[in-house]
Amino acid sequence: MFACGYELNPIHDYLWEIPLQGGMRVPGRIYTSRRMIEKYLENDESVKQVVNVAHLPGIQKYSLAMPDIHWGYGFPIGGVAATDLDEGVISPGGVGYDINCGVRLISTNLSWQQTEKHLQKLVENLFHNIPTGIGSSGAIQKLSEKEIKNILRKGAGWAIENGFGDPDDLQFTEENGCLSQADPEAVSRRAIERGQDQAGTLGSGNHFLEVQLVDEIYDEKVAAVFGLHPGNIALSIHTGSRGLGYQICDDYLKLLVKSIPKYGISLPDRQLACAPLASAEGKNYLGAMAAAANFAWNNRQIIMVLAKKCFQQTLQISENDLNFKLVYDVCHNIAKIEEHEIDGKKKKLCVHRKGATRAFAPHNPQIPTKYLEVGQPVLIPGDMGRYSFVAVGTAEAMEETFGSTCHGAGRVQSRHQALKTGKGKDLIGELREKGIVIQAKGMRTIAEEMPYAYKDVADVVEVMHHAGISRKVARLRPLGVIKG
Amino acid sequence: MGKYITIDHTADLAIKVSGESLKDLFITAVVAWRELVLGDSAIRNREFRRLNIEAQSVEELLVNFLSEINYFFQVRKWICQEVKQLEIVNEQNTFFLHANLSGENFILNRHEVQSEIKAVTFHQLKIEYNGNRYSTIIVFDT
Repeated sequence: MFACGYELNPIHDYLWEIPLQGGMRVPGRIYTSRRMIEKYLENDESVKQVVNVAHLPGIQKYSLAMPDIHWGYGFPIGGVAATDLDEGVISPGGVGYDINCGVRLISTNLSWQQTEKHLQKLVENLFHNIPTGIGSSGAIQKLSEKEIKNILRKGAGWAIENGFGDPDDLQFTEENGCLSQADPEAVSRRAIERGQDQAGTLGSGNHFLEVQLVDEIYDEKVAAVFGLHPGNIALSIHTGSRGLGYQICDDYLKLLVKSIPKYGISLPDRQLACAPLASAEGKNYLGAMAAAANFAWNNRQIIMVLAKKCFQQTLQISENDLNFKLVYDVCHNIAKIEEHEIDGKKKKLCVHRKGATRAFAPHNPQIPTKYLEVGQPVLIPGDMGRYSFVAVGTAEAMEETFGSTCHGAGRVQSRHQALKTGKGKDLIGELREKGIVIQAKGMRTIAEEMPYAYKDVADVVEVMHHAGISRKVARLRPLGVIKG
Repeated sequence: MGKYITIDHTADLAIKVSGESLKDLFITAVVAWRELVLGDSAIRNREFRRLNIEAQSVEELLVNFLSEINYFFQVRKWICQEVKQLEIVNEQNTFFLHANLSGENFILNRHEVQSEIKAVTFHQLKIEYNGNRYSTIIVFDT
């Protein structure tokens, strides 16, 4: 098959390879299906971006893409690339603007019956207490520059120290909610300013908070270990590092464009701005990006605690009866130093995941003790009208994708098109018919985020399930949505 | 007179903007930014700000100019309504921009925010002159 002028050879039904050509250092590999190639990729520029990424110095094994691949700045969204620490590079385009955008899933003991009559009030309460929308601010008081730098160093640990949550939450957060390479001194003043009043805020666009129903279980044993029981209520939080992360990406894209000629790097696209991991520029970006990642983990930790209070107040329920437990927090926009096996040898690499989720196998020392026997929970959000999925990482992911899998649905309609499609329709009514209560800043966000604007996330999850990279565990159906 | 149209771009917001002069193009790009971010919210000219920018190319100058205006909004909560004066100077391929802006502080309930622009990107950005008009595509990451 051909896509975007490149030959795609099937390795199996769910994995397609772009052979080595031109200046590619490694082949490209896309996890997808024949149907999805025909539907989405035949004329899509993102295929060329997989080829472009294969040119990066020090790239290992393959330039990878997940089934939710679509065009992004430099790297495709859904792209994964691991680079050698000595000879390789790090690229802000391989992380994206929203550094450590990610998902946090919380389980509860609540049943649908217990929650149903309070749902409207609960959603109103959540919307009232968790700042949403563009430039939203003020979940907690505006922090001083010094305090922001503490967040950048400590990540979710800052929230715990300041009374937002339980120390136990940290072990259920990827990297325990803190990357130690974080270097607040590598973060511009402007980025800090953009973050100063945004700690604990949800933001806008596709970010959301959802009250969900565990409506289908695919793997009973694993679901039980994760604490997910059919008919129970769960909560998902999808947000990232807000303005602080956007600014860091912007700052370093501008700086690292200059590293391309400086270090004699040859690339087909200057949007792949990058610097050697061993250079000062590369180290500074890694430090600044890690700081933004920490800011995001702290955000999701604070939002979780604000949401817990809303549940308790609205339902007038004790902490024990609610049993609000963090299942996991995992990010899908990041570059991290991780150990992986290359040709039978363990090696430290810089793994870029841009719109891709870590999916570590059972017995990996990086996952919580509670999940050691089953593997790491993978959280894959869908659109607000259908469903989201929980999957689990596998040994195949460690062998094939540097322990990575898909991250979501991806848009099929631009915001502009979605607005047109939604014109004159009773969108809130349509959602209500499906049993979904929504609160958002404006009708515009609702129209832009309607299910028709997105691909069906189930198609994406199926590909990774059949490829053996992340296995399906449970499906979550939205009941209450808050949006920016 | 400068003009702009929005172009369909699945993940982000993109515009095609043109003007009779470079100055016209830059001013129109600011109008586009404001209409994308704030729709038709009424914004008063109550306060003035001065902006000086330096860049190595005219494209970089445009990105930095719009980024500055976006920053004023994101962090200072100040909306640029109008570019009152604009001067673009090319001195041996270093470009300088001096602008006087007018606008007012963002007021919730008075101004309605339509889109959040995370950043102004260099994607497909190339200012071209066809002998008559200057034009370029600008992609905003949203």
